[in-house]
Amino acid sequence: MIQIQKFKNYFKVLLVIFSVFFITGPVLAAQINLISDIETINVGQKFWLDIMIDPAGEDINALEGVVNYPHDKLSLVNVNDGNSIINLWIKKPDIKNNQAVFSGIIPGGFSGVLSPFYSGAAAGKVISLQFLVTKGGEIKVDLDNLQVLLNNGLGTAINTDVQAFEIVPTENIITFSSREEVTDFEAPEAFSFQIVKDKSIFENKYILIFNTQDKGSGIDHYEVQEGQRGFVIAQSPYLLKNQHLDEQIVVKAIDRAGNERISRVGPPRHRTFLEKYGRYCLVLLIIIMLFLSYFLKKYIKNNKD
Amino acid sequence: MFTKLSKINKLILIISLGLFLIYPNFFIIADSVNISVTVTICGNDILETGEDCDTSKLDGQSCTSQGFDSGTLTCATNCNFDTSQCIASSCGNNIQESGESCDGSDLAGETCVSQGFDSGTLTCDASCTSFNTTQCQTDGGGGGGGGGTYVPPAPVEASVTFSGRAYPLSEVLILKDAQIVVTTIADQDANFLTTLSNLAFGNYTFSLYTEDINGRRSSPFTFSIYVSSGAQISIGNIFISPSIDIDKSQVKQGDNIVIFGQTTPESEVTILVNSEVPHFASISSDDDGIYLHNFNTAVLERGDHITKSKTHLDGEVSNYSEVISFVVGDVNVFKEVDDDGPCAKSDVNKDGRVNLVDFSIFAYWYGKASPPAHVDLNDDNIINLVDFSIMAFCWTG
Repeated sequence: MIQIQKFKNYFKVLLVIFSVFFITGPVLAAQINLISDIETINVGQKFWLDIMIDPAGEDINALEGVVNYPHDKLSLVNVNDGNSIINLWIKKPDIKNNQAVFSGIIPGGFSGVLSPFYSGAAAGKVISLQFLVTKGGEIKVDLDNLQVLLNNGLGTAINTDVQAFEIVPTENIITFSSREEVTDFEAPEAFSFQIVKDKSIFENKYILIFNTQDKGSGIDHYEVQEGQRGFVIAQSPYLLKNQHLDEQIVVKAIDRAGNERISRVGPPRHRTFLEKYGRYCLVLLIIIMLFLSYFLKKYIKNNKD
Repeated sequence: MFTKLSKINKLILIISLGLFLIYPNFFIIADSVNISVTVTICGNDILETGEDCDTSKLDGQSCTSQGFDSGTLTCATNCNFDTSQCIASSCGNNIQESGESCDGSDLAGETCVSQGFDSGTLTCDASCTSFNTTQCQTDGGGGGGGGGTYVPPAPVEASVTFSGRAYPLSEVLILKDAQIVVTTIADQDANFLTTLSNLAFGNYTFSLYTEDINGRRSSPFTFSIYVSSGAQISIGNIFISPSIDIDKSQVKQGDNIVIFGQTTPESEVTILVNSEVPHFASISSDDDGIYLHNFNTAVLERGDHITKSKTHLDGEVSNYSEVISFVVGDVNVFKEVDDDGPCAKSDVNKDGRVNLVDFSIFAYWYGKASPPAHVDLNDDNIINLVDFSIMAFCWTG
């Protein structure tokens, strides 16, 4: 009798497991792996970590997350988004603030990387991060607030399975080097920029829209020059200082290896003489009128006398 | 012990085990991704579709089979035959003739200088198809050496050739990493072929779509591929899905709803209308690729439904088209242009395209409080990743 009761208890547990498993629906989970080629590391050394995603047969088009790492033991020193599956970045990891938040989209979707060298689709790289080990002790790098959304027009989130990276820095390692530093001699891809205005942003003023890719080391930043002013670091959309658009505009894309690609347009429009010097003409006209009225009054007064 | 379990428990156990066994087929809650293309690469020493040859694989061909008298046939880097080392019978008569660059002493007026050198003696190679510049010299001064800066090797650029089926005479747009980079026009049979050159090695996301005669867009055919340095990759068998539309947004139960669109000519189109039981209809497209089907809604229950279509031709199958929604109700309501759908809203600046400009407007409002209603695609009063995902789905480049 006791055995039957025990079995019933086991059976109930099994039933609950089955119910949870089936009722909630076993959605295929996108597999995200944090991968490094290192097996050992010491304090004071750097290593690269790749965030790879395998959508497991799903078609995804947006993802974001926060790389969670021990800030007292690791320092984020470099980022490489060259060769990323992300085409348009909303947020990139910020080295200056030691924050590794990433967010971006893949218009059209991503369901794995094809190649003539294998059948099926392989995982794609999201981003690579380089860390400096600043202190000993167990290190774990993981992802928080991870969202992976389906390319279905609804932005449906899918389950994710994250494989964190763990390592314990060891002592007495004299030399070690993780991955060769990227030797990127190629400039970012050629690009053009658009000058537009829209009532939704910047009070309907003219803005610059630009974006390009760099397969080697990734885009580090953009710079914009208007007319004879100096280059300034800029992000798209960029509010133009010269809303008259009568000066040359240059946009420079610089990759993380320092290679540059420049795109420029001559003055998008030429102001007429009156548009350009109208206010000066008006001031001059007023001054002339004042002089004339002064001399006219004086002339009339002299004639009366 | 099993016999001592209650009948209800037995039943639950059997059902659970049954569900467990059929689990892979029963619990599919999302469409799996179906990318079916032929990927070939020139330079892998494997003779593949569309290649004359590949490295050492000459498909049994030789100089004589190519119309020459003797010589060595080789394979060029673009996987076409290289006949520069093949010799025609007229080669060797010291007269430069058609098909020859030179012949013995007849150099067709060329010299080392005209070949880009400073001095020396230009000769003709034995095949009469190219010059021998080994005795040409470039003035360089002597001596020196040592030190200097490292000059990186010139990058070997790759190319990707796309081929497949669209709609007759339709414009096929090809996006590379979300930007339109090339367009081509399909022929009368809906076949298209185009090549994208000067690619650095790396991962690329390519997306292809077309528009039918009435401006309806197909679903994009998207894939990511790794392009290795100098590779000449062919992506074949791309089958762009049909366009699709309906005549009514609401149809009176029992009345017909017209489902129509365009695809490859004279092909079989399968139309799926979902219900408690999915309904399939199979029709043929005409010479212009147009298909039209009157679907009787008597078999559908009242409520929301969707329809989509795909094309079969010569053993190849396209992906499913865009999904179109309609309602089965009490009255007929003819379909109007949807200006308030997510894709219409994604085109924030209303220029007819969803592209970088719209992305930039979304990026401006990302995470900010109180974004304008027309930018908030899912009406949750914040611009977040979901809005970007909806926009990415509607992307046209």
